[in-house]
Amino acid sequence: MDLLDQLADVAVPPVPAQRTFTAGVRRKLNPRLLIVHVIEFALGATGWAVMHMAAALFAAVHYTVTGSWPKATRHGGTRGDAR
Amino acid sequence: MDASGAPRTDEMSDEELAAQAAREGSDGVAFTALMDRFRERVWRVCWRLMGTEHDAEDAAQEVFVRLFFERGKFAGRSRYSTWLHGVAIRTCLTLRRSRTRRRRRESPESGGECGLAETHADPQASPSQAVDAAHDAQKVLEQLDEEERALVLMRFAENHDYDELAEMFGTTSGALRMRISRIRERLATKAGRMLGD
Repeated sequence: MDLLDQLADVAVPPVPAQRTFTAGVRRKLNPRLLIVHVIEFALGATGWAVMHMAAALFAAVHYTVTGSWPKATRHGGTRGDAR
Repeated sequence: MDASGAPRTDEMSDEELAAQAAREGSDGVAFTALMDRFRERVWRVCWRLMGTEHDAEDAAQEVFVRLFFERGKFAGRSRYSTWLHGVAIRTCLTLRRSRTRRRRRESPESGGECGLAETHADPQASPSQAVDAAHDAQKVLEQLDEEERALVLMRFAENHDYDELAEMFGTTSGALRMRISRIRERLATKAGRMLGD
């Protein structure tokens, strides 16, 4: 038997108590979950904001070029504003 | 089956639980059941690789955090337990490397080495000659790089077969046999020198 075969003789200490162990996992997991959710929300909100800013920009350019606001959008609400 | 007709978690296989955990949140029953089922096995791996109970507990918790974020990545190509061992080994290696870097920064003259004095250093755990020899073996293992050390520990301390090890370390069993044989030769020389044989 060589030296490496004797590694299995080292006794592993008992597992930490379930409650403290699970509490430790939660303590590490929850802040990271919060960060992930905030990032997901920020990315989603950024997309939404960019889309609406682009629509407004397009409307401003359209007004500058044609002298009238775009008639209608998919989201409704601008038809009545057209003058 | 429970009252709603769904299978109880203790009747489900590891793979079925993993699939359910991938659909659930962090407080889902499947993830909690997986944690209960694998806590001891993850603890063993972490303790073997990290060396102290404090670091092992920290690493084992980190493994389950990583497992939660990677729970959708289990593709079912291997057994779930083998895949989980792979996650545990990678997590421990990452933590050991960052610990070594931190120690090197804090005390550059020590070279970041962590000796046997703090690794598995439990005087009550060595009542026999066999265990003393095992501690000698661990002392010799400190001469290896992190991945080789993990490989040797999983093979000889935890008795995983080469196919399982290949899955955990992302290589082939033939390559691992060769690698372990080379490590053995190298260690035999070093052990002779270190232990005065």
